Amino acid sequence: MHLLVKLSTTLRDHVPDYQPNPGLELSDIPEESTVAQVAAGLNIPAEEIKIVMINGRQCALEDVLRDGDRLALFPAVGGG
Amino acid sequence: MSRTRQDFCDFLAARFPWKAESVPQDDDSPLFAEDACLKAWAGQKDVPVPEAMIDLVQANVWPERFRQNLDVYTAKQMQLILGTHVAIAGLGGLGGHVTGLLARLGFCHFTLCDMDEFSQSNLNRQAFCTERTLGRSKAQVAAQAVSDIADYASVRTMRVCLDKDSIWEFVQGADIVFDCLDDIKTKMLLERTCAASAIAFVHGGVSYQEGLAFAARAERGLARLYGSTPPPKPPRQPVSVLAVAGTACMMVSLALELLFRKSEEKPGEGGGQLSRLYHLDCGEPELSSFELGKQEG
Repeated sequence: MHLLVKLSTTLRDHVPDYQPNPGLELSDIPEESTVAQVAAGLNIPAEEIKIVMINGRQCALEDVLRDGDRLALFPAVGGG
Repeated sequence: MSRTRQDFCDFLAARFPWKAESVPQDDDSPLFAEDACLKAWAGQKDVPVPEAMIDLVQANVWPERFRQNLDVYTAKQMQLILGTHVAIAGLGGLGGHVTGLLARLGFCHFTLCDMDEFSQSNLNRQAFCTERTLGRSKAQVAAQAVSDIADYASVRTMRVCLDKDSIWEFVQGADIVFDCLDDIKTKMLLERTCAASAIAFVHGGVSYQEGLAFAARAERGLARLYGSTPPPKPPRQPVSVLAVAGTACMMVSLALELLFRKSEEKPGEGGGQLSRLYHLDCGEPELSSFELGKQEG
């Protein structure tokens, strides 16, 4: 299946040559993959991911992705 | 002509006759009054300047300083701005910009809290940090900045680290609290405190070129975002002035939306409210919004 993955701030450091626009366009992702599995495939440590959004709605690392999903991953964003 | 407007026009004719010559005679046409007239009027009425402004705006008499707010905000919205008490926790990147925006908009009841002094590493992004203010208390400098914009504003300053002992004093009297702090543990304490008292809470968080913001009343968005265990404060939090200025604008916009919506609620309405989570990436630039999930437990 195909996914669009957007990464925020420090999570981008784990993916060489990440381009914020358009983000990562992934293909050939196995059906029924979870967010955690996709993140692991990108070498992003799960403990650094604090916020998961799928198609604009907050979800969890263990949630299953569907073809065409837009996934956004955030670390903690706590600066003031 | 309304009674208040007639009284004010009579006052102008007596005290400022050169101003009274060009006064529109019908209530539908706005009359703009300069500070000297407003302050003299408030003095005669023996009321604080903001209270006098609230009465006069009702009669379509606008302070000259808010001429450009007219038609952006209604008279009722301007009255709400003038009468609302805002409390800003943290006066660094976000807090400085938020405070400046609120003062420009017309807010004039402030509680400002920060225990730090300005240092050189603040110069890249903090609104009130200049070479002249290095080493000075952020709270005192921010209070002076508000006074420089509106000398009739009432400003309470606190130079403390917010914790469970000081937080109730900080939120006392506040209608809207702005979370401009820099660690999530204290942000969550502030959110819990506001939610318990149904005080409007506006969150902002920044990192690198990005910012997050939401507004809530009697709801806890941070608890939904981060669960029950706040993530630790990182040793370093790089951030650009674009992220803090842009996120500060989002925070104030969300606060106004909450304030104006509350004024339209009927008695018995207005339970918990939680906006969408807004994400601004100033590196692109790109603005997105998300629906927050349910709170754990």
